[in-house]
Amino acid sequence: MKNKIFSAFILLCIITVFIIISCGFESVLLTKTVRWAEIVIVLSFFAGFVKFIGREFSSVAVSFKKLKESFSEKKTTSLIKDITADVLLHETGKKNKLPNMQNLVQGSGKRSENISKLLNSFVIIASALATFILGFINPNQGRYTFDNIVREQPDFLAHTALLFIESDPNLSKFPSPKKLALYISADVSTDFFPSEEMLKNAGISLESYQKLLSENKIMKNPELHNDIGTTFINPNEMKLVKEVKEKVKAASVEIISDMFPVARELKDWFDSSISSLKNDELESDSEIKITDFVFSDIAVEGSGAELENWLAGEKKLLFYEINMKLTKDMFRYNNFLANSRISEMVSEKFSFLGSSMLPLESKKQIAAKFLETGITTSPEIKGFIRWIYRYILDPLLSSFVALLLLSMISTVYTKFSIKNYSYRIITIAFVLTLTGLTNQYALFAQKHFPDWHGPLAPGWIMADFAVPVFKALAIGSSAGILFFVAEIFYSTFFVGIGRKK
Amino acid sequence: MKNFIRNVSYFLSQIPRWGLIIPILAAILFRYFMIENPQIIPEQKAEKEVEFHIAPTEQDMKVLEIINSLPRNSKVLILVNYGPESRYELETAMSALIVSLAEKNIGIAFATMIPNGIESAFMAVEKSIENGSFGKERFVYGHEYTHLGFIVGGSIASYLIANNFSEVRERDIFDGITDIRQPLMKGINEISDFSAVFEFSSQTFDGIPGLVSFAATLHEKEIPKIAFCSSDMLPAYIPFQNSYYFDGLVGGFRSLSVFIHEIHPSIKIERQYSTLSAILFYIIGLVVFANFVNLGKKDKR
Repeated sequence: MKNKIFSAFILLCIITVFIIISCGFESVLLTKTVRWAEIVIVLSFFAGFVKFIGREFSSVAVSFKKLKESFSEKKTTSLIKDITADVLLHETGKKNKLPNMQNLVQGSGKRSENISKLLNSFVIIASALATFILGFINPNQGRYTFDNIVREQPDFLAHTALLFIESDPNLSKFPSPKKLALYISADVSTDFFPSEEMLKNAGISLESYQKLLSENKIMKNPELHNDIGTTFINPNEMKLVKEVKEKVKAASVEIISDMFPVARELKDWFDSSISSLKNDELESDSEIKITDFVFSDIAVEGSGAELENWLAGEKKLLFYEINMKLTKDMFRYNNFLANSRISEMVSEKFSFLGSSMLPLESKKQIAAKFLETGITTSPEIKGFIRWIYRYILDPLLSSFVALLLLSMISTVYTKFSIKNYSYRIITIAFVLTLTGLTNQYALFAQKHFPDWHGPLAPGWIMADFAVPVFKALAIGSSAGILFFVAEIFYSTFFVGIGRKK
Repeated sequence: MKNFIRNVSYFLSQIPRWGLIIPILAAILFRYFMIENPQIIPEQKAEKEVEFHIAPTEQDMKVLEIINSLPRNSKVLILVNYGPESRYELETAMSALIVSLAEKNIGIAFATMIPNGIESAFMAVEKSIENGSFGKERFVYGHEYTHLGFIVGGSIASYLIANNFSEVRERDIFDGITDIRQPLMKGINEISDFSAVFEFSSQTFDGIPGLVSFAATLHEKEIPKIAFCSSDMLPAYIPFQNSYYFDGLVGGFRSLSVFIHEIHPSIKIERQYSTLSAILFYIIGLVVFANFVNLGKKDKR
């Protein structure tokens, strides 16, 4: 009965999908399905992982127990057991020249087997735990967030660079500090690309900016320097610029790392404050009371009032001027950051956090600028997975495939012989195929038979032998799957016995 | 201890069987170091053409024609469907393609239908930038190239890319939550806004190549489609190429070598291809020789 219900359900789903696709609603359906499929994949992966780790833990326990038993057994007992086994073997008529020695070897063999099982499970558990713990702790979070910010909000980096330029006694005299800030930012991160607004503020066009970058690259070469003529930064200043560049990067990453938890809490505070509002509070002019932002038991005094003021202004703008019906989604966090003093207030209070050696005033300004970006998520896990991919998965999988191919070649090689009929066919086919694939043969054929497209032309073996074989395999396996499914349906609905066992 | 000694002695006893492997390794190293490095700088490209002992076919030339005819400042989509298992076969070709597209200021949007493809794309981009003859000062994420992320679903993913691209394009692998309006994706609302679609693949989805599913569900939108596949996938791609599902196919090491050589001669493909070709010849020689030796033996196997 269960089988029937399940099969009927599957059939119903297939018919529904078919009807939806026929009616032309497939885009919406498939898009939503894919989104849900992603969640299902992640959940099933997680469930499988937990089951797998659980099994490995039990395997460790069993192997450990067996190993302990094998070590605790006395040697004499094992010898008596071996002799008994030896007698039994002789009774069954099997020949054994050195029974005692062999049993001893078998005993140690079992021990080594247990050790290897224990080690295997241990390595799997340790690597899985290390991966997940490191992913959770997320080393270098600041660096990954920094990369993210540079891509999304390049203004942060340019602002930080400008701050350092202005605090430097020599570089602060530079005639175009904003242009210099752009130059340093581009040097700090290859992901930096200024927005149109930033270029406008610095008084430089995109072409001039690109030229600036390339000219300073050329300037490193003294021979080319004279040919170029005008240069933006002279060689003496270049040393200072490099120092500032290092400082900008280090300070940005440090302050992002320090302020990241604060930024996350601030966003949570904003979201919870907005979601706690009632609908009538949104639409009426009644006063709204919001508690101050608190992080690590330190309250930012006036932050609640700041949010209240911003809400009142925003309500006025949306409801009275644009004449829209207000919903909670209309109150955006980024608008709040941009149109209030909250980032300065929070940075004022929490800029003492972290171990950065920067002057407090600079820290405050950089922290405020970071909070203004509104970035509270980072690609940290992706960054860590990237590391795993490059340094663990890639070498392992590449080596595995290479070794697999090598072992395949060496195994096939042992089978090449022209004495046995079956092997003879394989050997001749192999020699022909490989000859057809070699470049030497292709060159020979093109030189001597340039217009020939029949048998033995280059690519002929692939197109006329390999492809039909592949097609036959594909058709055969597809037909097999269809018949298999048809058999299940038939046996479920007509014979009534469910799947054959 | 006894087991250890037994394992070591077994390992040592297998050394004579390595007669196949050691000469191959020797041949690889010998060929690799004997062939001159054909790397040339772009300024000398016109004066000194790299001599390449390989015969390009009509199909190879057709792919090059399509790529050369792509308009400047346009945008292309590259589907990256390979992982580490085929990285050493396909990455160089993809890197060469990126260099070529960047020279024409063509924006690149990557997307992938397998999880490993995300990192494969970034590694190819890095390889292109590291190349000495990369023509761009900066190759910026979001401006010159972007990655739309892993699109789940195999054939369904192909369908979505072909027909519901506006949904797909909102993804960004760096932060799936933030709604980023990337400059590169400005003006790209549907798939026909791209000037071409490429696929680099080492696998099929539900038995069908990803680009074929894509082409089949494209609904009469005219857009050039070119597939790059690894050697083991060639039999799966050739029938669809013969049925005109896509406009060009570069598959297997020979075609990939021709492509890399023609599109970007500074990449050291000559060494790799010549070495592999020599190894193939060596294996054939070894098989034939071993059979002659075996003929004289009494063993019937």
